[in-house]
Amino acid sequence: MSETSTVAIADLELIALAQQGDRQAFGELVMRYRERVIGVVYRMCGDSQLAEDAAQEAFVRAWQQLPRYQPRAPFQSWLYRIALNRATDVLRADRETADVDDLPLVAQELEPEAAAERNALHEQVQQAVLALPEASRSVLILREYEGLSYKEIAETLDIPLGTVMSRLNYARGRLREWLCPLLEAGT
Amino acid sequence: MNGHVRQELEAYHDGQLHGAQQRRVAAHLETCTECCAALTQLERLSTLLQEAPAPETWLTPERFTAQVRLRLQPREAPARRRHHWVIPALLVGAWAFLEAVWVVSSGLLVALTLGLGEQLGVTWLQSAGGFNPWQLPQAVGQGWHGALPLFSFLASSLLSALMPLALLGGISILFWGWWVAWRPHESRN
Ligand SMILES: [Zn+2]
Repeated sequence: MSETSTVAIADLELIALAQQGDRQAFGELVMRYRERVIGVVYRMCGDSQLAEDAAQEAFVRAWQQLPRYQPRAPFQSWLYRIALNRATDVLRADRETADVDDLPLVAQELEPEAAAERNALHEQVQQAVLALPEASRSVLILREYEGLSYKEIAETLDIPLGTVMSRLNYARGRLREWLCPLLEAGT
Repeated sequence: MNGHVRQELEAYHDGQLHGAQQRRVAAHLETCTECCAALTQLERLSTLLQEAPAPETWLTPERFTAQVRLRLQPREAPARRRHHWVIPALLVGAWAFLEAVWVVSSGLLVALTLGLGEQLGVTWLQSAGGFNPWQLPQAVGQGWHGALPLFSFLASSLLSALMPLALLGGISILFWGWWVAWRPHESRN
């Protein structure tokens, strides 16, 4: 299994190999899920540098926990759960060490006006998402950015379907309220 | 209007409704401007959220993966590897036990044959012959003692010698079997 003919290999096979300690197979899984894991952590914490580190740590944890993973549950959901836990840890650590005010605001550099305006808009949206409680934020992220079904979200977070719907409804309600001017403008 | 569909609107927007439920909401939306406006709001919100740029990444996918791989601890295969010493330990234990039993019973056999039973205080063995498997051949021998003493002696000695040998052979075969099965796991990684 040392040849890199892994492209066509299904996730399940890679998982089975990685469970037996095959690092190369696990590396292939990292390549496949890297973007999604970074994405989820980034949407949770709003800092891409932090997200990249946390995503790496999430994969290291996944490697440690892999022997206990059972293919009955979708691998993606299992991985998202680890990533979200990692994101929560990062947020907690950040809250303890830094002021909340200077948390995710990335340095605004000199930019052309239109781009600056666009960035300001995205910044506003991101701040609104980050202001949501973590529980409803994670549901919103899995739905809006990762496109998971309600059932998949329920599996990932290990919560009932009804809770997924109520948290999603709450998150959207708050965002509609906070981002009202942007939504009315009909961008 | 036959009742609004605000409850189901979000699930409808998320594509989570199917069949009759989905058709009912769709039909209602065709006639109700209020629910339609609510749906538009949901759609705008989704668009606004999804327009937010993806995270900037500093590392290339290859670099990212290489860094993760560097941090992976070597992992023992689950269960099998963690308890790999159990099987050989049991086999060695069984072997040591048999050796000990063999030595003791051979000693006793010699003593009994030489008629030293009384001096050693083990005369009860001659009548009972129960607790020790190595005494079984002897117990068999005891029955013929009067008629064929020589045959009885030879038979019991032969059985006493062969039985431990057979068991030791079995243990070595099991041990080598385990070794052959375990080796490939050892050299992996
Ligand atoms: Zn309506």
